[in-house]
Amino acid sequence: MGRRIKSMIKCIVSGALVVTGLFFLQKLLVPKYAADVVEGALIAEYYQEEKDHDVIFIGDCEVYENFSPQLLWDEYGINSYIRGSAQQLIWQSYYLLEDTLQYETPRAVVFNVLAMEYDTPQKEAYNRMTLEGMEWSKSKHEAILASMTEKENYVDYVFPILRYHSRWSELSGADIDYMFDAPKVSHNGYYMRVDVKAAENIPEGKPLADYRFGDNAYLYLDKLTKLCKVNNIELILVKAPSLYPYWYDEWEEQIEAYAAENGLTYINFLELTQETGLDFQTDTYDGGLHMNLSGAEKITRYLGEFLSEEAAIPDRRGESRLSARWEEKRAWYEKDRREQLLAMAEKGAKPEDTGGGETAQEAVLPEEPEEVHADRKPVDYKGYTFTYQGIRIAMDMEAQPVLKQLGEADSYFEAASCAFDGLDKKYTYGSFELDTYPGEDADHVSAVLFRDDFVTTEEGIGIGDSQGDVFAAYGEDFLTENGMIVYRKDDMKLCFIITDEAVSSIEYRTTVLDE
Amino acid sequence: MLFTSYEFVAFLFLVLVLYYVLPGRFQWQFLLLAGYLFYFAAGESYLIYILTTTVTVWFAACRIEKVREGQTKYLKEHKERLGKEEKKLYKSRMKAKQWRWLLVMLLLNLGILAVLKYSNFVIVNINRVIGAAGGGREFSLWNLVLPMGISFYTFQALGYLIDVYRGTVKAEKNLFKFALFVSFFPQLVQGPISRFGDLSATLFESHPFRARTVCFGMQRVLWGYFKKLVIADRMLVGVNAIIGDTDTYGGAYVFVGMLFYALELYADFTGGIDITIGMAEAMGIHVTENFNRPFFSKSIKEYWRRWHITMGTWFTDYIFYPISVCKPMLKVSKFTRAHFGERIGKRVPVYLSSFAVWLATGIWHGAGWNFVAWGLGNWIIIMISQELEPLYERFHAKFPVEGRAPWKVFQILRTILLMSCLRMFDCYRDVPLTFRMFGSMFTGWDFSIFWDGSLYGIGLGFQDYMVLLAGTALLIAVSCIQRRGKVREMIAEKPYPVRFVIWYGLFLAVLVFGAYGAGYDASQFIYNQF
Amino acid sequence: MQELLEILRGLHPDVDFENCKTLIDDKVLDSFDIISIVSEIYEEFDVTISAEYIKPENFNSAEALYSLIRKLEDEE
Repeated sequence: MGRRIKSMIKCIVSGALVVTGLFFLQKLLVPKYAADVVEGALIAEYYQEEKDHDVIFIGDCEVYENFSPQLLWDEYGINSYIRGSAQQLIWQSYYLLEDTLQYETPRAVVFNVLAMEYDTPQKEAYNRMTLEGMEWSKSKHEAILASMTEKENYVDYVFPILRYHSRWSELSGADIDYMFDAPKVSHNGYYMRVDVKAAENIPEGKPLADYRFGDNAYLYLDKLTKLCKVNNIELILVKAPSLYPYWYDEWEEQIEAYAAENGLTYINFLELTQETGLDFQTDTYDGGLHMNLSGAEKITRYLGEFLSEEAAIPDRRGESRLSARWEEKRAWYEKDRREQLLAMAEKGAKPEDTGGGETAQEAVLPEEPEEVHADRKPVDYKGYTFTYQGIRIAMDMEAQPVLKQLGEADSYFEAASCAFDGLDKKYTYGSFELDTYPGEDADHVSAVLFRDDFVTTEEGIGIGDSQGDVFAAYGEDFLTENGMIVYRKDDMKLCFIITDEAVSSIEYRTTVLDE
Repeated sequence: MLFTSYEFVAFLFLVLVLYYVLPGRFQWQFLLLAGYLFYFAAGESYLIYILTTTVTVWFAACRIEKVREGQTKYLKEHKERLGKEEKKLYKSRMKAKQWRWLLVMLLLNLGILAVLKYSNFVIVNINRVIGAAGGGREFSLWNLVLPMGISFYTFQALGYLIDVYRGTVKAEKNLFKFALFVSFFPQLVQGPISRFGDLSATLFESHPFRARTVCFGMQRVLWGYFKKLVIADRMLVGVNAIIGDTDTYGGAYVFVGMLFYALELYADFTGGIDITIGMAEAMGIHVTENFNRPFFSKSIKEYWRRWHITMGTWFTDYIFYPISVCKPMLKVSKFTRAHFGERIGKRVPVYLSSFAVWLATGIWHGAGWNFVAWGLGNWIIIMISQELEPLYERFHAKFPVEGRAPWKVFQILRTILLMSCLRMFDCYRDVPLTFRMFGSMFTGWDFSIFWDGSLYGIGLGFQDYMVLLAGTALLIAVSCIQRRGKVREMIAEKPYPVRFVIWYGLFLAVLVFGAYGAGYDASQFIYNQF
Repeated sequence: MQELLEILRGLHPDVDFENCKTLIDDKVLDSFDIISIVSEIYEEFDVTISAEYIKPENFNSAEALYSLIRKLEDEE
């Protein structure tokens, strides 16, 4: 008997040691989202809050960078929280709301409709940032299943150590500091930025073959609407005033129609710049993609007006406990703002300075020492290529030499990717537009889009040619993606949009970025 | 289902639990079911091939056995009546009957293997000949799937059939038991090629749960995963970088790639076999060892007795001996002895049959000229060292280095280098390219890559090299300890906390340092395709 | 028996074939030796040792080999 008890104790102790060991190891190895990519910490912060909010925001960066709950409280006494995350897909928004409803039922939910553009899972990194922060529930389980890309594995979400084990080689002090206690990064889900970079050269949206939102997106919009109805929540659709990604008129019509059909309020801030007083010279920090604090406060004020006047969200400033809580929050809100301003002042860029970033001309031709290219191997052209005035452009080739040959671009625009380093850049030359993406060492070409019929493909096809011409040049061995005719070759695709029997758009695009 | 996939690990645990939950007499039936599930998951269309081989070989073995039984009975009954000559005649008639069954099944099953595995190789070469002869119509390639592990299970089944024919083992009357022998899931993917006599001893028995057996088995599985995930799959990145860009990586890089590949292949293959044998062991089933620390071999011949042992003995028993001692071969040998003297006559059977074996070994590894070249390369080296034997003896008579440590080390290094060079055929997959890269080691050697950081350019960073270095050191240390006995048993004698730290540490090492998941493309076991 | 020992000594003059019982187990004879032995036995005794008889127990000692030859002679 004694031996049995002894071996049982041995088992239990060993088991406990194994589990605790793994637990600590996992805590150490998972990303902390504290020192950088703080957007990854947003979703988890909600659970530490006292949950009696009257307004909940759900959506992507267009909510968590554009609305300030602090201002809603200060000026309207509205107690709100933003459950936003980078590239939050609509089914993730839906499940996040489901998750939230386990704790509280708000009077109103504000959803930003840009997410309607995605119908399928997109990128693992964004999935991770949205889903990992969620606490385990049926909603999280379903959110994972709905969001996984083909390469992902459910087990990796259950045991994140399986996904992040390779981080052992890049552990830093922050991983130990924030193992259990990460600092707060948001103000009720709002990610504050005070720097300024004026919006300029915003590119036109590239033509799409099919402007209708996807079926899956609609399915979840319906579910969202229903979930709110059942719980007696007013669902408010908004489109933040971000100028890029491009918001098509066709999309606008669909949302307007949907709102009308379902009796929902839809506020498009892109059309309300007059009313909100938004100034794209001073109110954005990355050239029109996201608002800075000044911009966020302007549109929040407009929304606050609406929420208290139209949606009858009560002013709770009379509640002393709640007021005290918000008082604390304001202290940190002010501190964050002051520190950011101070840091900027130290760097020499004043917040009033409208030309925050580098000017377009400088950016078009960044200088790079000549000799770097001297011993480079000849370019290995792969896939379909495009030749313009004797300059041959292939997908995934290094952008620098080509840009140099092409000379100064007519216009230049750069788009920061949400939460991550590196800029996608767009260079426009008379008849075409060239996009780049940041590779490991340098920018590489990601796309070429024709803008008029002065240029043709290597095989002689230009905008306005007939569908028959395309087939004659490229054969009939093509795929159809989102209504486009797509020819794949190596790691790229050549896409044609046919409208009324004629080619209306031609684009070369790399596929190495696809997940 | 790769050994390194989550699905497989889950499958393994589930099978193990159910295996011991079930009453003992159902255990083997459950394993059969598991084997077919495993195979089904790998590809539904594969099933038809393994079923064909199983049923035909089982049936033929039963027929052969029946003929033998009939013969024994007949001879017993007519003991007095039959004269010696009559008996002999009867026997040879019966033997011919059995031979027909054997031959038909050999042709059928090797035929399936040959068609699936080699038809495109043949077509390509025929087209090449047609092209060289001035063109004409070319044959198009066939779109065939190669079922997982087909070479392994075909050989295993045929080895059984030959054994039954020879009377070494009795035919298995139960089709399902035989089906389990062919489809035993741990060894379906990459061997070892078990003999029916060995495996059946423990395969069909009932095995009550014993903690020690299960622990020992799982420990070996863990060690296999360590070799596979921490060393092999990490190294693979570097190997692929070097062999993937032959323009950039010549000279000293080729040498680095050669050694890396040797280590990678060893860790991958033996790791996989450790997983297989460990899994079987955890279920109380004994699978024949496939390796005996091959890198400590002092000659290529010895190396082939210690590397992929079950394949080597298969070829020896079923190809080498039958060819070398068959009547025509003996006659040829006699003839050459009479006409060209003792020296040459003696060699003829050895040369011819080992040529056949190495050609077969080469082709078995893959449908390509590079594999043929690789097999024959082995043959040439073995024959040369055979011929140099008198020279060695004279050398050793003069310099008594035999058996001394430095000489042994020299022999071991020589063997490793020779084997690594030969494997370049396997690496580069193209005979002229292999020769070119081999040549570049002598023309384009550049020592500076070893210290100017160039080696970081092949996809392996400082940390990767550290992990590889530590992993390899552990590998070598364990190999050295193995000379003194079984490592797991030595550990088992240690106090519990020590054992706990060792095995938990190994588990954590696999978990953290293993090259799996995002960023590492799951690589198939190199041997899957054979 | 004497002829057999002669054949064996011809291969490895330094081995004590009369007493050694582990010719295969201790790797005194390798596969090449075995083939030479089989072909020489064919010449001397006119007996064919087919592949199925090539297993350790038949080749481990000169004695065992000799009795194999006797047995095969009988059968033929």
